[in-house]
Amino acid sequence: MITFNVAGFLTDFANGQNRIVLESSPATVAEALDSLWQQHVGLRDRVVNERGQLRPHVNIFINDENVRHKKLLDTPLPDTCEITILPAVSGGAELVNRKS
Amino acid sequence: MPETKHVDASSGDALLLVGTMKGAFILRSDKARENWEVGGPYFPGRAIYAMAYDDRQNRKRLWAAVNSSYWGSYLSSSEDLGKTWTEPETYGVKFPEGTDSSVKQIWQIAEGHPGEQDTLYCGVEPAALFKSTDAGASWALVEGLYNHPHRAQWMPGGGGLCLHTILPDPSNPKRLFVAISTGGVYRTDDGGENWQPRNQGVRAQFLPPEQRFPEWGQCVHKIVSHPSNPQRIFLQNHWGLYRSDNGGDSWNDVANGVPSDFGFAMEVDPNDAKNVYIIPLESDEFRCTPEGKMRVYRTRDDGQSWEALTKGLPQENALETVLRDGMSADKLKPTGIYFGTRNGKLFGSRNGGDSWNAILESLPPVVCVKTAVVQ
Repeated sequence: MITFNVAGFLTDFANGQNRIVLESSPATVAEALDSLWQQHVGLRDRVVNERGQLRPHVNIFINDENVRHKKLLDTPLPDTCEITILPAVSGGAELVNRKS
Repeated sequence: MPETKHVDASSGDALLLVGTMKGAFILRSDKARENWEVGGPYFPGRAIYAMAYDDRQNRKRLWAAVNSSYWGSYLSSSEDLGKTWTEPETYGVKFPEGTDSSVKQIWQIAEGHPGEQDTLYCGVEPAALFKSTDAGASWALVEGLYNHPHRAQWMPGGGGLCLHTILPDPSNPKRLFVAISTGGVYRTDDGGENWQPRNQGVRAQFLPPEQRFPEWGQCVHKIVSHPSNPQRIFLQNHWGLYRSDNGGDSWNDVANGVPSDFGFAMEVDPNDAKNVYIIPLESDEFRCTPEGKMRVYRTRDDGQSWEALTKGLPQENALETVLRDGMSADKLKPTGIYFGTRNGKLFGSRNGGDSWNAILESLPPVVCVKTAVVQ
């Protein structure tokens, strides 16, 4: 069983839920995300860009492992796990030179 | 989080739309423009690179380009002066399938030609132009510019590779200018199918001397023109101040008597085509107002001379930076001029720049100032 954990701002696009259980059995993170987008389409553009790439300041954890240390969205999934989507510590503060 | 305040506006009121690195603000005043009510912060924590007020076709619609370092960039609109904003399920401005790009930031929102009352344009990073013909409900990439052979060689400037200025020619519905850092000015004469660089005479200080006046590749910071004379365009460059009298076919240096020809912001007086305003900055490395003096410069003779406007502006220890979208003029009379600084100050003049006062002084870094008059 695959369960997504989302928090804060993202719950606005998941009908207020912070835990979403998938009905499907995805083999990879990408497949799991596709199932998630089908249930909650508003999450997609906020987590990945239009090329389907994980946004640079968003992290995805499979249980306690960051997919950036594995195969990103191609990371295979066990039959049962928790997938957590979190804003990364690297975001939030803009470089002072932005917009110049 | 600060409590969000709201403003209401009546016909004839002036609006200031202020985008900052940590949210948007909407200021409202009567036509006297002596006292301002402040609404916001909207989108707290988000960088609002662009704002617009679309009052065509009886609309009263605000637009904000909302840039989040976490969640990406999207356009949001409000029909009630900011009390509520759209939060789209899917982002409207996206590169289509078949391209290799993704939107990093939305830099500009602009109206189309006068005869196209439902047309909007959007400039993004990496440099590209998007167009809407349904008042912003949907957007499409302008592929004629995206497929330009120069695109692969455009280089990012200090702020990124951005299409930051969109300038329709009101006398010609097929002609449109865009400015790209770092790519230069490009012009279309066929409604966006084909684009040509228009940078003859504009220097690229960062290239070797023998390559310093290329056909394209300049870091143009801003171009402005007055609707009454679209052939005359002023250009603020990454080093360089120019004027064209032939619709961008060629440019002449008009850095006459300014303390620096480096700067970002530039604006034309909506009520007098001869008046153009700039805010010089000391060098591309320092990027602050020269000599610690906050000075706006105005030309009243098409760039032949520039006068410093200082009354009411700090003239000591003022190390300020006004970014390329940080200055705007309203259409009331006398003309109101406003600018915001990267140190979070907002200044305004009710008399075309003859005197100034501080409107707000503790905002987050200001990146966008736009004006509107409520119909």
